[in-house]
Amino acid sequence: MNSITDLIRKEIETLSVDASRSNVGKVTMLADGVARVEGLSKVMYNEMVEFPNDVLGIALNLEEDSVGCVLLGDTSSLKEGDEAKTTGKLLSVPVGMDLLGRVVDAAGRPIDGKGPIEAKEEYPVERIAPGIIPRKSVDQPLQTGIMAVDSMIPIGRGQRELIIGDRSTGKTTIAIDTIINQAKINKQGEQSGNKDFRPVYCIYVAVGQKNSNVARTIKILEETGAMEYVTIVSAPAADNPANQYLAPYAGCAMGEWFMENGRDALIVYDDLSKHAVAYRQISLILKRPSGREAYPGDVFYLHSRLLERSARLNEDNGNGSLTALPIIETQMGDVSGYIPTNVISITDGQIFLETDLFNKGIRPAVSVGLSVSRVGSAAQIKAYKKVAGKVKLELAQFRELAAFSQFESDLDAATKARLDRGARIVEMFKQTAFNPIPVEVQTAIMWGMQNDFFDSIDVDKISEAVASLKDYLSAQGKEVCNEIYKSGKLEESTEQNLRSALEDWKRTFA
Amino acid sequence: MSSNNKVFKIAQLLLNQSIGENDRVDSDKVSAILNELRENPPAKHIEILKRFGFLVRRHMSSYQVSLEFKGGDGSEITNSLCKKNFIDHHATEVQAVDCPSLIAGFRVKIGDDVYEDSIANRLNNVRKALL
Repeated sequence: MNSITDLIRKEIETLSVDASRSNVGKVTMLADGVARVEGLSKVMYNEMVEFPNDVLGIALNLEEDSVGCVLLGDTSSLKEGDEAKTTGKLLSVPVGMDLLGRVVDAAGRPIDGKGPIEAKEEYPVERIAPGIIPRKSVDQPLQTGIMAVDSMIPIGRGQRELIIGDRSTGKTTIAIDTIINQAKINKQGEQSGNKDFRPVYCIYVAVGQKNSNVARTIKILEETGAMEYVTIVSAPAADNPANQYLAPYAGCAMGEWFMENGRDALIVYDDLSKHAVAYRQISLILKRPSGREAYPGDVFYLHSRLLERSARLNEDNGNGSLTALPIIETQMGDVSGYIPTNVISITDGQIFLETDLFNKGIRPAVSVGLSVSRVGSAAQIKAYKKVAGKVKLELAQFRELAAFSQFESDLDAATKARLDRGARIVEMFKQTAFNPIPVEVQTAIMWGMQNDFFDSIDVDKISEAVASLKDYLSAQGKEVCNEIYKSGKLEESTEQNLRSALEDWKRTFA
Repeated sequence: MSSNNKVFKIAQLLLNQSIGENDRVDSDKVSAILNELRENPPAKHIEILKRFGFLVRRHMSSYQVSLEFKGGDGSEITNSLCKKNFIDHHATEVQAVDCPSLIAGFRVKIGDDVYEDSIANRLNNVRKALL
């Protein structure tokens, strides 16, 4: 009891008792989470505005005779004629390590029932992206644990890699797999006691999703033990458009804290299509002029200013990074839509997922031809680069030849060999969801494929063989995997050990 | 010029016509303008009237000071605020109202700006800090 009264006394002592000054206005219109306020002549752009019953809004439209505010939270208690007043503050969210393992809303308030968040710092949701001087090129890998991605479309820390595809093609699964893999690597790194180890913390921003989907994601992260490294920012479909518009910026501010404090972070925006739709809704209610597909003119800036905040900082600026995995949903596989082309042009590459591949059972359904990573290959570890260098080309050639071979009955030996190899690689890349593979195991499997260890196995048994090899490498072949993990290279001696390990496995598998 | 701009310009001209001595809105002039508009309604009559009303309200709020207080005498508080150059007695019209919801203290509204030093405001600050 005493401690509570002490706490209250302490809080009261710190309060300012000076006369307060504020700038006020009157609500003249309320609609769909947007208020038009007459007055507020001194309000600033993006300033938080206070309405009755502790409802907050953000001033987005500053006009000659009124101010357009988007409202956050429950607006049902507001009415015309209510007083709105300026706060002199920009919308800020709590940041720091205390947010890990928590689920928060767009304003950073906890919604997981685990009590208040004791964050010591706050960051404004809208910030200017790092300039040219504090940045450096991507040079450290960020392993997704997905063989098809890590080998052909490698991602580096600080990169922005778009995940794009139709609905139900496995976009979120790739992002969740990446988060789970970071947690696994983090745990492995912490156990190893390596002082130079840099864990990757994750932020998952759910925009306009069903609450059931968010709950499922949380459950998966908890079951896989990844939640302790993750913060989830949720603005579900039932939330008002203002919260859906702000959620990615709030998540980004949380990620920036890690970056600016010399740590590495990964942020997933799931998804930016719905984010653009929420912004379109706000803009139309604010009566901003609309353009293509009724989106406002600044919809490119909406995403560019968000994704530009992901960066790799140089040593003078803490050496931190913020990697972004934005997700975009296409309609009927059309990547030439307005929002998809915008985000493709902003990001450093894309992972394109095809419905046809997904329906054929090739999962992850990564389209080799349309997927690219513009900067990530510079960050790939040497051992992996050595074994995965030719895979993308081989697979692209396979897809082309496979299309032609449908009309050809008599094929030459070289074409047959390429088709055979391609089919095996496709099978090798098949991977179940939420089951990321460590990079050293991936390297060993790829090495086995490149050195014809899978050639004598039937194509339809390749997946089984890969699973068996994976099990072997995490048990008997642990030493050689550790060698690859520690050195990051494939020395001659390592290759010899790898060969003998794979020969041993082949005998057991046969 | 867009039709909106025309409405804004006409409304501004009407406001200029409504201002009398001491830079204050003259009610006689406003009545005369409204009569004239009623007899000879221009295009976009309602939009012009709405805009004119807004401009008149905004102009009046620049010299009308609303003083809400609880405890003490309204004229005393006004005089003390004038002495401290908080309010210009000559340039403004002060309307003092006794307001029990403040509990004690005062609240001055000049245009959009509100200055408040009251117990109710302090209690509200405490409530916000403890929430």
